[in-house]
Amino acid sequence: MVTLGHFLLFSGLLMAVGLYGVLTRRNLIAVLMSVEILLNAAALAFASAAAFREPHLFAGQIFALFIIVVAAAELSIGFAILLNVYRTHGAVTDDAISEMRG
Amino acid sequence: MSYVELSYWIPLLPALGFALLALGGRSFPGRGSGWFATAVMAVVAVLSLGLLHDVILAAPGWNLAALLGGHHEEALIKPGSPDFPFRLEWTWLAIRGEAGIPLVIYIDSLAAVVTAMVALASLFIHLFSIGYMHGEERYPTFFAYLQLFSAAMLAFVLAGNFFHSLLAWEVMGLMSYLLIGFLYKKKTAQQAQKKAFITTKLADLGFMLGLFWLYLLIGNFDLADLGSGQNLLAIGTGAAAAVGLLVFIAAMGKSAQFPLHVWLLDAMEGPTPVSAMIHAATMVAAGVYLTARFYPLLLFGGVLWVVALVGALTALFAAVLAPAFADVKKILAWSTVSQLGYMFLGLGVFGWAAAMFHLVAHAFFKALLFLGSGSMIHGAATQDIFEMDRLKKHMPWTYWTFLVGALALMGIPPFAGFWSKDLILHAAEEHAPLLWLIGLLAAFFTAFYTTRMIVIAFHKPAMESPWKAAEWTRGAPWLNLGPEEAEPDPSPPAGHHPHESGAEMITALVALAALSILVGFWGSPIFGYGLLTLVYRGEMPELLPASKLMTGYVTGTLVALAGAGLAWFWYSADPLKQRAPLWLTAALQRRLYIDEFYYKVLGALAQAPTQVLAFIDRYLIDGLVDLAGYTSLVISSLLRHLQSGRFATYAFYMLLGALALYVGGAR
Repeated sequence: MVTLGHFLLFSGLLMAVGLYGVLTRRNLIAVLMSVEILLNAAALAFASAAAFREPHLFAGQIFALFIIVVAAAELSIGFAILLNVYRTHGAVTDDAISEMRG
Repeated sequence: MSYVELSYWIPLLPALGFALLALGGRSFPGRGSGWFATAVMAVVAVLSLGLLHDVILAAPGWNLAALLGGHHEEALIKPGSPDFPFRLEWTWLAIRGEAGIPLVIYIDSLAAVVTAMVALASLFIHLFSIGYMHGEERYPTFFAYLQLFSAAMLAFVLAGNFFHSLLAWEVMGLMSYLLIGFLYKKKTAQQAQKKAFITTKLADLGFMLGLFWLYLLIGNFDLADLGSGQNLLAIGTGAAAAVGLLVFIAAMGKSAQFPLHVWLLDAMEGPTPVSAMIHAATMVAAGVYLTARFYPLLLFGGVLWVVALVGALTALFAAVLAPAFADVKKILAWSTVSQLGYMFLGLGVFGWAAAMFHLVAHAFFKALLFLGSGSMIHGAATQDIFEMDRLKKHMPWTYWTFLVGALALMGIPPFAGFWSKDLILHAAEEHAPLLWLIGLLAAFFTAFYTTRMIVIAFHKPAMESPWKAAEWTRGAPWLNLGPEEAEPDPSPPAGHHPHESGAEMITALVALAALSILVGFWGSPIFGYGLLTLVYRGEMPELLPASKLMTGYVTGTLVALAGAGLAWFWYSADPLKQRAPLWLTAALQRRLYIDEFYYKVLGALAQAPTQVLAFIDRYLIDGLVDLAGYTSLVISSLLRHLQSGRFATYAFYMLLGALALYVGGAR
C-alpha cells in the first residue's frame, strides 16, 4: 500500500536530485531545470501531505498550484536573464558570470 | 529711563557696530565706515557720561575734612542711594531651574569712571583713525576690529561676574592679536602678534585656574560679593593668597609686567591707533583693573608685596630701557610698561584709589601721546625720532598737544601725571620706603626719556639715525627673525617735508589733551580729590591734606625736573654723541636679551615635551589607527575567498544556512 511516507520519500529524493543539480551543473539552463525539480519536490510534498492528512481541505493543493504559477513566472524571467547573459557573455555557464568574485 | 537702565547698550552698541561693519563694511562709501564707527562710539560716550552722572548723584558723599583728618568713621555725610551700587541681572545658562551663571552688570563708582574713560578714549581714537588709516586696504575691517575691542573692554569693565570678565578678557586678547597683525604681510607683524598672543595666553591660564578654584570654594563668580566675610571665611587665607597670585599672574601678562613684559614692545607693529587704544589706554590697564577687583583676596599671604615689588621693578626697568630706543612708538611702549608698573606699585602699597586715579589719568595722556606719535609718523613718514625734522615748526598742533601729554607723563605740575604719580609715591613712602626710592628713580628716567624724545623729534633737524646700521639691530632677534626676514623701518623719502595732520586727527589730539588736564585736576587736592573720593569705599587711608603732601610734591617735581634738565642739556647740545658704552647700548636695545632668552631656553624647554608628544602621536596613536586598518586588511584578504563569484557556491551557502536553521529549529 502506498502511504504518505512513500510520497514524502519520493519528494525528498526529487529534492536531493534538484539540489545536486543546482550545486554541480555548470550550465545555467541545467541549473534552472534543477530548480524546477526542487519546486516540484516541494509541490509534491504539499499536495500529498494535504491529501492524506486533511482530505476535506485543499490548502496543500492550492500551495501546489501557487508553486506551479510561481515556477512558470520564475522560468520566464530566468530565461530572459539567461538570454541576456548569452548575448553579453557568449555563454550560459556560471564561470562566464563570475565577475563579482572577491 | 535712567542711564543705569540703558547701561547694557554701552557694550552692546559697539558689538552691533562690529557685526554691521564686519558683514557690510565694504558697502560704506569712502571713509563712511570710519565715521559710522565713530558715531557709534559717540553714542556710547554719551551713555557712559550719563551713567557717570547718575553714579555721582547716587554715590555716598564723604566729608573731605574728616577723611583728611583720618576720621574715616565720621566722614560719611550722605549715604549712597539704596540701590547703589547699581546692578542689572539676567539669567544665563539656567538649566532646569538651576541658578546658572547670571549675566550681571555691576556699576559702582570705579566701573562708571573707567567706563567713561574707555568710552571717551575710544571715541577720540576712532576719530583719529578716520584720517590716520585712510587709504588702508582693509579700512572697514580695521574699524570692525576696533568696535569689537571696545565692546569687549566695556563689557569687561561693567561685568559683575568674573566669568563674563574672563570671556570679555579673552575677546580683548583676540582683538589685540588681530590688530597687532593688521599689516599681516610684514613678517615682523606676524611674529609680534603670535608673541603677544602666546605670552598673554600663558598668563591667562592663571586667571582661569584662579577663577575655577574660586568657584570650587564659594560656588559663584560674583564680583561684588567677593570680599564678603562669609566668602573670605569659606576661602581661607591660604587659598585666597593662591587665587590672588594666580589672578595677578594673568594681570601681569595683560599689563606687560616683568617678566611677562616682552610682548608689548612688539605689539607696536600694529597701527598707531591700535597702540593708543589697546596697548596704552585700555586693554593693558585691564590687568590693573582686574587686580583692583580682586583686592580683597590680595590682602592675604603677602601677595600685595609681590604686586608692589613687581610693579616697582617694572617701573624702573622699563624707564631705564626707554632712553636707548630711537623708535618713538617703542619709547612710548616702554613708558606704558613703566607707568603700568606704577599702578601695580600703587595697588601693592595700599594706594588703591591712587592707582585707579593713575589708571584713568594715564589712559588719557598716554592715548594722547600715542596719537601724537601717530600724527608725527604720519607727517614725518618715519618712526625714528632722529629722522624727524624740527616737527615743532612743521606740526605745531601736534607739538603742543604732545607736550601736554609729555608733561603729564613726566609728572610736572599741574598736569595729570603729577597728581596721580605723587599719590602713589606717597603711599609707597608710607609702607615701603625702598620701593618709594625705586619709584622716584623711575620718575627721573621717565622725565629723561620723555625730554630726550621731544628734543630730538621736535626741536632738532633730521639726522642720520645712529643705530639703523648697527650690527646688533639687524633683523629682529627679539622676534626670532634673522636679517633677511626682518627689514629695517623705512626712512623718509628724499625731499620729504613734514606736514601737519588733518582736522579729525587734530581734533582728537586737542580733545584728549583737554581731557588729560581735566582728569588730573579732578583727582587733585585742589578740587578736593574728587575722583578719589568718588571711588572711595570707606577703608582706604591714603588721602592726606595737600600740605602734608608738600614734601612729596616738591621732591617729585625736583626729580622730574632733574631728569628733564639732564636730557635737555645733553641732547640739545649733540643728540648723536654716544654717551653710554657701546656694549650697554647694544644690550639695552636688545632688551637685555630677555626676549632672545625666552625664544631659546623656553623654546627648547617647550620642544622637549612636544617631542615626546610627537612620538606618542606618531607611533602610538597613529599606530593604533594603522593597526585597525591593517587588521581589517588581513581579515578581508581571508574572507574574500568566500566571495567566489560562482553561483553554485552561493547556493551551497544557502543550503548550509537552511540546514543550520533546520538543526537549530529542531533542537
